[in-house]
Amino acid sequence: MLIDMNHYLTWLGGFVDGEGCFSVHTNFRTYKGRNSVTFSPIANVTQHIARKHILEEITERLNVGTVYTRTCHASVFQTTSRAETRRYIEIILPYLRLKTPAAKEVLRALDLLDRCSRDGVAMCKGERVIDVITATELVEMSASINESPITGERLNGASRNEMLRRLKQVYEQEAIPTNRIEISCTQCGNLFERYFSSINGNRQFFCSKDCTDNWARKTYSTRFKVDVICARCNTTFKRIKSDVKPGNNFCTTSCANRFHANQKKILAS
Amino acid sequence: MAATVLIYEWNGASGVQASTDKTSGTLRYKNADNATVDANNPLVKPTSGNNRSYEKWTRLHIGGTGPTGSITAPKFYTDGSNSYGTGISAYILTTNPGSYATPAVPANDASGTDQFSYTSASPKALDVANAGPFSGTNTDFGDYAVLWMTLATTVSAPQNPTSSETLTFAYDES
Repeated sequence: MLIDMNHYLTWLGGFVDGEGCFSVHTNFRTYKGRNSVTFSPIANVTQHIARKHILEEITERLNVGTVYTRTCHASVFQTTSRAETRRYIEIILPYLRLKTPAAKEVLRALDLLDRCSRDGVAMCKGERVIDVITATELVEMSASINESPITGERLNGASRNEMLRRLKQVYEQEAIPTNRIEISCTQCGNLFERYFSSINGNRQFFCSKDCTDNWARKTYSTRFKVDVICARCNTTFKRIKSDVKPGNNFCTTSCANRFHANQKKILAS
Repeated sequence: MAATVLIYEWNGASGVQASTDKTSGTLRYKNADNATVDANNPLVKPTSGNNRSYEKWTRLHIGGTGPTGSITAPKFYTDGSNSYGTGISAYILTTNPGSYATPAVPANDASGTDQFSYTSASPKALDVANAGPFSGTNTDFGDYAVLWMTLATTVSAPQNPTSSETLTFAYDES
């Protein structure tokens, strides 16, 4: 049974407090010999693929974001545009506690970007659309959101100083050393560039998310998946062996819900 | 809105039988025909052969809220594992709703099937004689599920009562 929106948002606030993430992605790129930086304020929630339906419910209920499968075991809800990020945060903000500062920082980043750029692109093809002060402020925001509130330690990504150094390079149009090599995609065979440092130990390389997903789907479906019968509709479907439950398995969330809703039990002794 | 579906236990002589709502409650196998959950009229360990409880006639019932569409595929199942203990078996047979008979002690178990042979993957259909779809309010539906317990001489006594087993009645609703 669906709970009403207010109860749902109250629950979602706690869920996002624990599992969600608000961030400003800062991407440094070199395009046709010119350096550029882009800022993408986003919100996301990652869950095991078995709980993908929870993420899909967020998309359905709030009408924002998209859910995609990152690997065969992780699914991600993520906002896909600045407008969506803003809308999502404005809905969820009153229900947050722990992530309130991060959400507010992302809102502030959105305000800054709305004022001075097109589509969050600070320097598009080398053309400056954000002044260096605003860009520096955005980098600072990106860094602070990702710092531990207790230790100040950087939680992921490049450090604040590293990002500021690269930002300086962008604005001074220094060449960013690439150290890239050309390799071929395991799935489609296309040639693409990758940082030399990132290939250590890896055996598969993919040029796009689609190729990663297609390869994983093909590999896991043949190597690790087994046939399972839905406890409600008796349909045979495939499931990763480690995800098969000892009790009842269901082909869809709808089947699971209907199976559990339409049961009456008694004890006999 | 989902329909209100209840499990009724039926007791008493045919023609004047009375029902008791047992949904989420307890069904006590005993040596008497009543729906009371108490320690009276217990089953006694047999010195030879088997002792059986009175039959428990149960049937599904739609309460004050009917289905939006209809109810189909009523079924019965257990977790597939008999945890009552050594020497205790439980049986089920289904019968036409028009054939209610005063609950009695079955003479043998031949007409029944082990309740624990029915699981969610392989349930006992309760719409064989009384086929769906079912709708309306305040009405019984599906076949009777007649349940009883059988004690063998190997049972350890006393057990008053035995441990409980969960019996599930499920259905589809549209």
